[in-house]
Parts: sequence; structure tokens; C-alpha cells
Amino acid sequence: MKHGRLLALMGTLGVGLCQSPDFPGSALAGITPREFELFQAGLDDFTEVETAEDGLGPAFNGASCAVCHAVPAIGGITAMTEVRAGHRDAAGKFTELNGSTLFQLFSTPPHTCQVRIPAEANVVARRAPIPLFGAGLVEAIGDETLLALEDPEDANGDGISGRAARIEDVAEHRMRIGRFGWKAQQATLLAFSGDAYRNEMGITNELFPLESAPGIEAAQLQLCSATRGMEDVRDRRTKLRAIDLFEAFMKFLAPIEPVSEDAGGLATFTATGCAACHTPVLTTARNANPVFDHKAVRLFSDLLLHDVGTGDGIPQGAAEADEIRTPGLWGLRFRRPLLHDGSAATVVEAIERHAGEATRVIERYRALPSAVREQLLRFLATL
Amino acid sequence: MVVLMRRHFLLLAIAALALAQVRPAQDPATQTPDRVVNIVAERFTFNPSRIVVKNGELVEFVIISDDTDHGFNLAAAGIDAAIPQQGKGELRIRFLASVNGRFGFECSRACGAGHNLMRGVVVVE
Amino acid sequence: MAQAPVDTEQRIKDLEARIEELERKAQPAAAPAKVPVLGSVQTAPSAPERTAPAPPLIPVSVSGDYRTFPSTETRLPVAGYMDFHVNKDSGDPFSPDFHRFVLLFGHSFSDRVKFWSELELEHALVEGKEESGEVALEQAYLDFLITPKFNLRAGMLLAPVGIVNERHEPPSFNGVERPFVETLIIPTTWRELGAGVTGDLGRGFRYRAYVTSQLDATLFDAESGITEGRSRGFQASMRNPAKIGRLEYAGRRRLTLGISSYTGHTGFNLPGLNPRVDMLEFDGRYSVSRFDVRGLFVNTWVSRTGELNRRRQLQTGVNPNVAAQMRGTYLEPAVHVFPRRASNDLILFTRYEKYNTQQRMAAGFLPLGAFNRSSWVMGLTYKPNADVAVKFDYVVNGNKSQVTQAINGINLGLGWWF
Repeated sequence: MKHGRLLALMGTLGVGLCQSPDFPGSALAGITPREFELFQAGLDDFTEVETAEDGLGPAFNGASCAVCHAVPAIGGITAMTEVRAGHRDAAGKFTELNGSTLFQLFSTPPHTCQVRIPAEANVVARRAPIPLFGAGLVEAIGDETLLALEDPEDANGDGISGRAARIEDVAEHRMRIGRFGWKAQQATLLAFSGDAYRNEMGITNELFPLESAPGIEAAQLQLCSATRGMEDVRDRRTKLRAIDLFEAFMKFLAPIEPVSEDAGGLATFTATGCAACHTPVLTTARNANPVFDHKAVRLFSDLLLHDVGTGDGIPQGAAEADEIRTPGLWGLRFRRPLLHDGSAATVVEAIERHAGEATRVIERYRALPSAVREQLLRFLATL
Repeated sequence: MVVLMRRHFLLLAIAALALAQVRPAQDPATQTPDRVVNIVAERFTFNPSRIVVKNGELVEFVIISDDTDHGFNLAAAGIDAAIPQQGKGELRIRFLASVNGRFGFECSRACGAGHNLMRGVVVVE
Repeated sequence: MAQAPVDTEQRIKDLEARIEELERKAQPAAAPAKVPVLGSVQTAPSAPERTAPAPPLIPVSVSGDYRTFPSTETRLPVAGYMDFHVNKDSGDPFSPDFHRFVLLFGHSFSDRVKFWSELELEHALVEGKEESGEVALEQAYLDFLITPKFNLRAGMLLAPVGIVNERHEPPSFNGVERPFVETLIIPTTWRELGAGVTGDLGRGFRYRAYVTSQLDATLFDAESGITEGRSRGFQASMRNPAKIGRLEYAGRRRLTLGISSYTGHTGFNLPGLNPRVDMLEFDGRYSVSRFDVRGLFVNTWVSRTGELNRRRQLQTGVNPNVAAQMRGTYLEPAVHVFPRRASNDLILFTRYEKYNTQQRMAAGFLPLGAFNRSSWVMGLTYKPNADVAVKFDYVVNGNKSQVTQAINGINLGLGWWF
């Protein structure tokens, strides 16, 4: 009796006893009511459709964060892709064109600031959105954990040479190990928010105060922009910026749990060598917030940069042109299509595209008996 | 003189008798009613809504409104008059309760959503 | 005394004339005093020659300050009420808004069959844009009057819950906007398609009991509770009709007490899931000398909100965080500055409201403190005429959020009824 009431009380207080893994888009179990309010406020802002009066544009890829991040729940992905482009000379040296590799797809009417890919571009790549589930846990993984995993010279001779992405974080103003984005170009969710708000939606903010529209003259940009000055202003009632609310949303967004535990499949996954880059578990560092303190993050990624033959040819941050940060495999069942540009329709196709550092692992995979391969694929289907 | 006085006296006596016999019955419009009932009309009730009077009584209703104009339609008396809105005075109606029975009255000026059922009953017993 | 014979004759003649006069006066009144009347209930044309049967109650007089309406008035009155506001939230500019323009049409088919309707235009303009006003049918029903205790009603009905939902003419309540509790917990103006019975049980007890269309749980949310779930008559469902009932006591002068309840299933758009909404409400209004007071308490229960939230999250990607319980209460004392009989009315009022659309959550869900709200509304209503209200109020808002601050506001309003 007493236990029942205690459980009910805890349930009412939201102490994650009833947090179900089947509902992507939920908040992390065990957060406080205040954190939940921030999460909800962030979610509201995340789904809000911005207009030119709010600062959208003049160049943008989507009028709302949810345009790219909505499946299977807000914070996920969509089939939308953005365009990156640049110039690579005969020697392999890459040059940015018009100061950017990102060329926004859309512009606000009357489209006098429509960005276009210059004629000199000979590298064009698409990039799909990355799901944000569990982003707070990923942020809480210590830099030292990632540094401990890196092996840039392949000292252990397994053919895999993952590199930690050393970047300057614009939110913390110091060197950090990046882990967000296809090129691990951001280390904190706040920097990631600011970057996305300005780059994908054209809304300038405290971290990224200048408009981005490569190739458009400054004077023309002035004319196109409906708003003057910084566009992300603090909300009167919360005293927070939109980027703070996005950060809160992503931080408290729960990861997607596997549908079932498959120890055998995991064993095969590890034995084949997939776990060398798609590390099953990382642990978060010490954190003042108990929700993030020494927590297991079952993301199936080492968050390091690798060249597995699936690169997009665009260098960014600390990443070389052909390096890609290992994507997490958690929530794989909700992601289609696959690879950074969505060019793989199935999991098998994505696996087959691995080369470069993954060559030995792929050979082992191809050598697997079909029953074992089926087991491996069934395991991947549970993630 | 004596003759005149006697004739005068006689005529005066006749006049006095006549006067005595034709003293008029009191005007019901001005006499004191047997029963005065104060009624308050407001959206959407009359209070009281059930008024019991005795047969034969001269009844007076003094009706005021607590809000907008209402109407007072006592069909059995053929009376249908407006109740002035709050602050604009009162409506006084008088009738003789001459027959036993139940006689309904209703609000006869649209006053809002509950107007149709803003009614009451006069019970004469 | 030489003139005596002439005087006597004259005096006799005078006396005789007087006697005649007195005799005439003593005749009983030939016909009752003329009674001014409104247009008659039946639409029979006035026929002066018609000899009406003697009325059972003998009318004597109609006097006082009544008005007679012009004889051309038909029994198809158009009434209406309008609401013009200027709102200002702290930090925002003044914002004018012709909030409501409402026309009411009624018709008496006969003594026993009557029609009443209310058509509303909100915010002045409806143009098909994303943000626009609203044209809505708020009421349209027939009343079949059978006996005082039992009458039938059918059509678009006002839910008989609360004080303001059925009595929302602007001069009948204080405050520029309707009370928050009666906007967010009792979703005024709450109207449903349905049918029911009403009547007067005597001793001041009146009742209304309806069977109506349902609320839609897929539209419930955290901030406004069940409010958005109203169909307002459009694409309504009566798969599981809801039941609404109210018992009112108005037996004592200037005292009205009411108790209402609502129960209905709301899952017609949710296969396999049928959350139930139950609402229980108490209210009262009392006036004595120059003081008025009104108060209300309402609690709403929604069942299976855990499953509802999870299903909506699966469908839309967002958890609406609907609460399992919502609660609202308010108390409003007011004082009339001028005596009751004065033609002007100045009312000073203050209202304390507490309303929480996240009163209690299903297991595993956290309440959003921003929606645990309270408001102090202080202001005045000036009525130069009982049907015209000039309103002013200052609203101090509060909430239990640790993230979002509530903001205050002032409102000015002009409301009228005709």
C-alpha cells in the first residue's frame, strides 16, 4: 500500500518511472519541473514558423527548426538536405567560395538576395539533418573521453585512425572537442543553436551576429533584410534568447532507446569490428546536474572524425574534406535515408559504402555467414 | 322668513340625504390595495416567481428591474407593459383577483439567452 | 330680504343641479381604466370593435415609469450586444479591438414555441487569413414550452455551466474581458449542438439538462485545457453524447446559487482511446444594499491523459502535456457607489482568480508551472444606463513558473446591449 502511494507520488512528480522508450520526443526522465518548462518553451520555439519580420532570411533553408527536424518526433530528421559547395584544385587543395561552404536554398521575397552556387564550384554535396535525441547526454561527454579514444596515427594497427575534432567553441570561447554535426564542428549545444539559427534560418544572434548569404553584396544584404540589428532578442517574459531555449530543448530531449535488448547481436556487432568506430557506450563526465552525471550514453559512436570513403569533399572545422564524424546509430530504425547525403536507401547499402579506414571491417562483414549477417542486421533494426 | 327657512331646510335635507346615498365607492385605481407584492426582475428570473393571492383581493405588483428593460405580460389580465431598466423607476400594476386559478406571467421584452423561460405564476385561491 | 325669493329659486336650482351631478358620479365605472398595452402576443391586428371576453383577472391600472413601445413593434425583436476594447499588456502598446459584435434574433411562433439565436462576429474581420476574426453561431434553438416544470429545447445551446456562459451581455459582468476561469477552465462561450429539458421546479429551483455534442480530446493542450476541444457546432460528433446539467436556486431575492456538471467522452478522433471529461462547478451571486458578490469554483477531470499525451506525441511529434485535472476558482466583491435607484451606476470591483490547467498530471508527466496562474482584476464599471457599460480594469497576473514571468495589463472597454 505504502509503496504504491509512494510510486504514484513519484510518478506524479515525473520521476521517470513511467518514461517509456516508445515515445520519441519525450524529455529525459528525472528532470525537474523547471527544466521541463524550459524544455517545453524550447520545443514551442523550435516548432515556431519564423517570418521575415522575425528576422528570417534573407537566405535560409527552412522557416522553422522542425522543417529539418521532425521525424519521428520534433527533434528528429526529415528528408530535407542542405547544399554545400566549394572548389578543389588539381592538387586537392580546397577553397571556400564567397567565404562559405553553405549555400542556402531559399530566400525571402522579392528574392533579390537569392544565394547561388558560383560557377567555379566543382565540389557540391548535400547534407541531411542529424537527429537531436539525446543531444544533452552527448554534450555531457567529457572532452577527455573522446581524446582517450582517438588514434590518429593508428598506433594500434587496426586500420582505424579516428581523430578528435579540436575546435574553438564560440559559446565558451575556448578550445573544445567538437561532437555535433557531420564534421564535429560544434562542441556545445548553444554554439550549435546559434550556428543553425543564423545559417539555416538567417536569424542573427549574439553568437553569430552577421547575416550569412554568400555572394550577396553587403549593401544588397542591407536592403533585403527586413529587420535591423540583432534578430534574436531576449524574450520579455523568460529573459532568455531563442538560442537559449533551443539549447534547453535539445539538452533535455531524451535519447531513443532500442526496442529490445539483443546481447547476441551486440556481440556480433562488436566481433565484426563495427564497434571500433560505432562505440556502443560512452559515459558522461561529472556533472552538477544528476541527470547528466556519469550516465551511460548508448549512442554507438566514438564521435571522432574518420575517412571511411563516404566523405563529402568539404572540409569544415577541424575536419578534412573526406572525413566524417561517426554518426550515432541510436534511433537508426527511424532514420531513412542514410549517410550524410541521404544517398543510401537501406542499412545494407550504407554498410556496403564503407571503405577507407573501415576496409578491414567491411571485409569481415562480407565474410560473415548469412545467418550471422542476418543476426547483425536484426540487431541494427532494434536500435 | 319662517316659510323660506322651512323650504330651505327641506331642500337641504333632501340634498343631504341624496349626498349620503350617492357617496361614491372608492376608486380601485387609488384605493389602498389589499396586497402589495414587490417583484424584482433580472436576467432571467422574476423574484418572487410564484405569487399566491386570495380571491377578491385588489393586488398591486411593484416591479423593478436589476438590469435591463424587461417586460411584464400578465395575459390573464390583458396587461403587457415594460419594466423600466435599473435606475429608471418602477412599474406598478393593479388587478382584481376575481377568479381562482393559476395565471402565468412572462417577460415580454427580449433580454438575453434565458428570456423565453423568464416567467412566473400568479395563483389565486 | 327683498331679494330673498329670487335667491331661493336660484339656490334650489343650484342644489338640484348638484344632486344630479352627485347621482352621476355615483354610477359604477362603465369600463376599466384604459390600459396601455404592448403589441399583443398573437399577431391578430388590433380591432377596436372586437369585444374581448372579460379577463379572468380584472386589470385596474398600470402606472409608474413604464414605457410603451410603438404599436408598430413586431414580435421579431432584434437584440444585440457589442464589446469594444482597448487592451494593453505591460510593455506592449495599446491595442484596440472590436472584440464582439453580436446580433440576437428571437421569434415567437406561438405562446408555446419560441426561437432564440445569437450570431457573433469577433475581432471585426474574417478574411480567410491565418490570423483573423471569427463569425460564429453562438446559439440557435427552439423552446417548446409545455409546463412550468418541464419544457423542451433543441438546437445550438449554451452549456449551462458557470455564471458568464449563459449571461454574457457586457453590462452583466464586471471587467473588460470575461473572467479567466470562465475562459480557460469553463470554455466560454461554450456552446454545443444538442437537446434537453428545462423547467422551474418551484420554490426558486430551476434546472436545465441537456444531451449534447462532444469535446475533441485531440485538441486539448496544456495552456488552455479543454477549451480548444469545443466543436462550436462545426463537424461536431455525437457518437457518445455528452450530458450537461445545472440546478439553480433563485428563491431568495438577489441570490442565485448554481451547481453544474458535465460529463462526456472525447475520443471520437482517437481510435481505441476514449478519454472522459467530467466537470463539477459551483457558483453563486448575491446582492445586498450596495454590495454585490459573486464566486465560482470549478474542477475538471480528464481520464487517460497519459495515454492521450503519448498517442498525440506519436501522431504529431509533440507531447501536448494535457493535465488529468484542471481547476479554477474566483471571488468578486463589488460595491455600487450610488444608491440602487439612481439612474447612474458606478461599480468598483475586485476579483481574485486562481486557475490551473495543470492541476494534476498523469503519472510520468510534469506540470508546467506557467499555467498555474492567478490574477487580481481591479477596476470599475460605469453604467450611465443599465444597458451601457464603460469599463476599466487593471490586471495583475501571476504564475508558478520558474522560467516565464507573467505580465500585467490594463484594459478599457465599452460594452452595450440593446
